[in-house]
Amino acid sequence: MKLEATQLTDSELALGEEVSAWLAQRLPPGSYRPGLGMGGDTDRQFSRDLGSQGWLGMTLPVEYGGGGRSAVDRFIVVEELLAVGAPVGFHWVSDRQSGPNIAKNGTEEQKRYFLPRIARGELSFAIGMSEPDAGSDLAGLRTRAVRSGDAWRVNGTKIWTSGAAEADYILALLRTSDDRRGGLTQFLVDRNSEGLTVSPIDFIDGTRDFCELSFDDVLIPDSRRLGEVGGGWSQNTAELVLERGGVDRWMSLIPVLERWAKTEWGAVPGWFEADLGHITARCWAFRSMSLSLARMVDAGLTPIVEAALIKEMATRFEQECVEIVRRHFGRLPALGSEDQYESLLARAILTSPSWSIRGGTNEVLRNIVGRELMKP
Amino acid sequence: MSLQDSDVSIASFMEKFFAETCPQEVVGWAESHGLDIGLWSQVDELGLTLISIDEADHGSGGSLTHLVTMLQAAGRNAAPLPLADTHLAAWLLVQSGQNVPAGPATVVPGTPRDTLEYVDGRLRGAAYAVPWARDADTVVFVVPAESGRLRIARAKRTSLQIVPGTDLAGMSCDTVSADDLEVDASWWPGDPDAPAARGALLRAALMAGALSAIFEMTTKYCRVRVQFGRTIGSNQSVQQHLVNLAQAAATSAAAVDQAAMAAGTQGEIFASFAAKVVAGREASLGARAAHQAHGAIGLTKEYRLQQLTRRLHTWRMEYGTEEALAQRIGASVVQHRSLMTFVGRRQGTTEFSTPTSGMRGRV
Repeated sequence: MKLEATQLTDSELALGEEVSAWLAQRLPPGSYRPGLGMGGDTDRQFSRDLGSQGWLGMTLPVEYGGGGRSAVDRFIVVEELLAVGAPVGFHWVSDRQSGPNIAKNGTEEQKRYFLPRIARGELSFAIGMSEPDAGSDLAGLRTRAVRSGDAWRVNGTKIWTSGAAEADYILALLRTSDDRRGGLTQFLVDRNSEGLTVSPIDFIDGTRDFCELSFDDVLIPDSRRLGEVGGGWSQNTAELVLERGGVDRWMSLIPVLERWAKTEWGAVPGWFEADLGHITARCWAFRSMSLSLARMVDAGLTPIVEAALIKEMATRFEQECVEIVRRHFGRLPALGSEDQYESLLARAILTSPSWSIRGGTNEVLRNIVGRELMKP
Repeated sequence: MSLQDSDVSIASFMEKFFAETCPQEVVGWAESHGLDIGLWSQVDELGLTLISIDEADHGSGGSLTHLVTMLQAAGRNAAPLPLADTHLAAWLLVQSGQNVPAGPATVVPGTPRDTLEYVDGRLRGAAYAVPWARDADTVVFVVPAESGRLRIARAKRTSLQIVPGTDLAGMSCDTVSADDLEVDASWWPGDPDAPAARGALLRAALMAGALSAIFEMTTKYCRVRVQFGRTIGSNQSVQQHLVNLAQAAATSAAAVDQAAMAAGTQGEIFASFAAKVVAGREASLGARAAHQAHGAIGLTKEYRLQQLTRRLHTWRMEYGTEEALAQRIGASVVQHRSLMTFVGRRQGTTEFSTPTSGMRGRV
């Protein structure tokens, strides 16, 4: 489990400069509400603007409107976006995982339709995995798709789906036979399909981004099946690698930390510097590991265990950071504060438990790593 | 061995060398008798302590990455040798225009209790917790001047008074005093934080090596130790310790390798301090997890684990504690008003700030 240290090349550094300069123009302070990493605001126009810069769908093939660029180039762009808490909500899922999944497993027609739109920042995706009785245990999914002529008839419930109300498509993992793993298939479901009801679930911080999806005889054309019938489990596993181990796993709190570093926030001299220094050193180490993973992906590797190992500790680190900053803040931060960063800290206190749950709970990740270590 | 070889073959050469020359008995012997001269002459012949010092300066050539690769292998095997110390001494001397000393050498790391003074070419006072002092031929002193600049001074061990002491690893950790001793000294030409940073990185490399060893040792143990009719590693609760160890080993090695790669950039000092902070934290978690997974046997002298964990405890406290280094990093972040300037793409061009404490110059 060796993570090779690596550095950015001159052209990669130049890309970072370019993105940073563009963001300073496009998102001047006060013009947007900073977010917590991938939980950033949804701003369709911002996503389109990013797309026209060529900074979405960067790793997708050029012939389908993608950038044909490396995972490291995408890493650089995402790092700049998350450092300022940019409104990445609209395109986050489609850019990080749905696009690459479709590029790998989609039909020619699906690639022609979806990929250029994803790269232009026009299509938003949500992930339809969890169900009321199948959270971490995806092999227990029950929402069923039954073949009916040229289409599939879907009935059941998906839950805890972030961003479904705003999404154009749901990339859903559905049951097509009783085989626990071999009976799962992925589908690209139009959010406006007849019979599909999306109901927001009130979230702990008062937002309504979390959703429940009820499928009531929803007909999905077979042309919107992604990959082979029964191929959903392995496609989904590969997709999860894209979801884990990236900079988004340690950068959620960065906008708050940056504010803290400039701080007027109740700093106790000495104590403050030491805590800030610890956090900075660990961010730097996580960044090195995420970058190393991106280079591995570019080298054609699938570092499933490494990604799980990093995500598990990075998300715990993010949660520790919330705890440290709240202690220094010294009073109860208000959700409705005029200071956007105070409000963000309040949200982080409430929502940070989700960081070690989404994309595979830490317990599941620990089991993945533990099993691997016990292999002879 | 040639330093032109690929990094991978250097790593495997070093691992093989230290595994063969530093088995548990050799380490145990050194803990009660001090430096094994025969073992020292083997590493001396190979020029291991002079890796990354230019051949023109009578070093062995190679990069800082090669040096930390060697030290990680040494740390993996608890090598009872003043490798990091001799390297640091030689590097400080060469950088400040003096020649490479022959034989084992050490550097006075500097503690708050030290009373050493350099006045008019003479050294007087005492320095504490000096690793390997009694076995070193040359002792190097880093002495701050009032201007904030540093002098690098050297003395023969035989001209100093040494009171032996012992660290948690059972190795020498001595008090060194000088009584109006005339010494050779020259100005340190670089950043005044650089000596401390190099010392921190070398200790971090040793720790990363020891962490990878205790991770592998614990994993193997959990695969074969049977309790309740099955291997203890088949319990998920025990696997948790292995996951923590895997994370400790991977994180500390990544940090050390990344810091070595920052050599020669503006980011070098920050990265070296950060690597020590990270490795020190992982050492604490890793040692705890390894002992817990091993149970009682891990605490016995007949078993290898304790040789490594006692060294982790020692290295962690040498060349800057996590708190002291974190405080320097934090102060610098405050000056730059941003942590991403050290973490993100600008890390190679961000200058470590001027100090706010009197720690500067202390290695």
